[in-house]
Amino acid sequence: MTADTLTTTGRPGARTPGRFRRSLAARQRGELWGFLGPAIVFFVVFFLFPLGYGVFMSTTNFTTGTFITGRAPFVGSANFEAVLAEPVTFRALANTLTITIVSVVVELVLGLLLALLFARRFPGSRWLPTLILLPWLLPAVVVATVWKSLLAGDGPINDVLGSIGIPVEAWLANPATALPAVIVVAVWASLPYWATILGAALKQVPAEQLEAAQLDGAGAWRRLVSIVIPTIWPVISVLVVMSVVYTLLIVDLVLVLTAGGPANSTVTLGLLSYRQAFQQFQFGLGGAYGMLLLGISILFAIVYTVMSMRRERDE
Amino acid sequence: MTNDRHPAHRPAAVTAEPAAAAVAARRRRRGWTWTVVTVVVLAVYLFPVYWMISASLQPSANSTDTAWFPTSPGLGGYEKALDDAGIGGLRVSVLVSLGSVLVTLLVAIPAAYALSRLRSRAVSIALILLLLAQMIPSVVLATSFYAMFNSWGLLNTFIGLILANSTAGVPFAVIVMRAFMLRLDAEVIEAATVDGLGPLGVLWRIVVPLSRNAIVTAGVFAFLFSWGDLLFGLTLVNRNEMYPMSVLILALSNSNLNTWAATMAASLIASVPALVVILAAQRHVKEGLTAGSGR
Repeated sequence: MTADTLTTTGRPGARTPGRFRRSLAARQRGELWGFLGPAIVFFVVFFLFPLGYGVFMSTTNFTTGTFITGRAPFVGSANFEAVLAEPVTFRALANTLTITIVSVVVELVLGLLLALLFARRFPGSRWLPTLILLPWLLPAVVVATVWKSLLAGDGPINDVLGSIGIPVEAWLANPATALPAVIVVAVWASLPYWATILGAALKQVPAEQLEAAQLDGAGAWRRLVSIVIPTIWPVISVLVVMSVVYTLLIVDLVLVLTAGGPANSTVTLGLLSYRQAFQQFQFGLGGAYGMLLLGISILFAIVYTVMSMRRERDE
Repeated sequence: MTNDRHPAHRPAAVTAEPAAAAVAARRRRRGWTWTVVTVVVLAVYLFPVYWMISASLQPSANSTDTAWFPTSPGLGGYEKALDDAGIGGLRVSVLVSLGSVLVTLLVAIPAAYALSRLRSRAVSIALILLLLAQMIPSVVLATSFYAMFNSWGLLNTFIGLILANSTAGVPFAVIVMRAFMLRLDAEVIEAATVDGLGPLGVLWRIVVPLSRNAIVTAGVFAFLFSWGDLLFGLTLVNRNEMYPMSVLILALSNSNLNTWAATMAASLIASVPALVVILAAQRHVKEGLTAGSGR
């Protein structure tokens, strides 16, 4: 052994500990890879396989009968063709994008306003803002249920509106107002998250810089646009991306509030996927809608990655 | 010269002092103005929460005459919400949520540790895969899970619901805990290894105690994700006694026979555990998340 080491390295003694350490490091690396084992198994069984199975289902005529016969005839792109021939698909696509874009923009604006309000020093400014986290703890089904009662034709919102002379409305039952109502609820539910994260980000804005700008005569708006927003931009961009993806995939809120109605005015791609798979038991069609949704969310992720890479290059 | 410092010797100071006091008073008043603004904003914003509590206490009101204030409060709504089905739903929700906390942590702790220590291109690939996994619509997962669980006999089982709900917790938990573990002192771990502690010993005796905050945070969120789930409970269960609380609330809110009281009482009951868990873990969560956000 020793002779062997001697001849290969030519430096007696010096190599042996090094080699021992290297083998120890290699063993440690092996053990660390072992620690990844459970996660890899979990990932394959509960993400990769279901995803592949979803793709498979979307290309077959997969129905309730499949569970009995075990047969799911391959139909190629027929499910996608059927889905794209349905006018309701485009309604759902438009609704999904509308809900996502409008609610993320409104959440950003209102969230920033709330964060700026909470960043002020006033009596109670330490504990009052924490109350805003309350709605964030409510399960989606609770949020939707409470708002269903608030927005009902005889609900409290109409009591208020009626008393100041605005015509009352069964907001969720009218095809013209149901989608805006869904957006209001989505914004309400997400606002605590935005206000809290943006509030934490505002603490990183250098106070001296703000004071200097103020002394130079920069107004509040100018300071917001030229100092505050550029400083917290990284946080804003991450929040926007996460919220877009989250809102695109939202199903439970719409399912409880309107179930896609009235007259399909609030259907989303996720909801159509749910309906086809679990109410019509057309798993193939449901899978096709699901893949459409997945495609959009991945497309968005790619656009974002390209954009952020380009920005990094520019800087 | 020195006397000039005394206000009495400087006529200007006499006028300046009340002015300064007025400014301070105005500033204090402005401070209270912002308090009032905040209270009003919060009152409007939190009205739905108030409404849920108020309506839950009005068992005799039907949907048209639920009043703004529970003038004659009663607990009838709670009695209805906590009937046999309600208790059963709570039990399912609690067991499933605790189960998915366990599964999430068992899978995610070793993985987060490994990803914080390995220096390899595979780490960035793994992180990208975790982000992509969160982009898979849960309705797509639910559809596949239904078929998979049907052949594995996992529909209507706790195990099935626990595993399905863990898909929400695992990616998040790995990301948060890895960010925290990156800050752990490598020398402590090296020293423990030299002292003859095996890899599991290092993980269990050194890394886990030091990462307590991040682990609590990941556990709390795994609990909240699972507790709030509706879709998996709705799709992977078709036997009444296995429905979680969320599905029972949906059923209550869709039934025309009910007054709002029982629905709102059930909603409130379903909200309390989330509140209790986050309040109990508040300090850890703050620490656990701030470590992650820096990365």
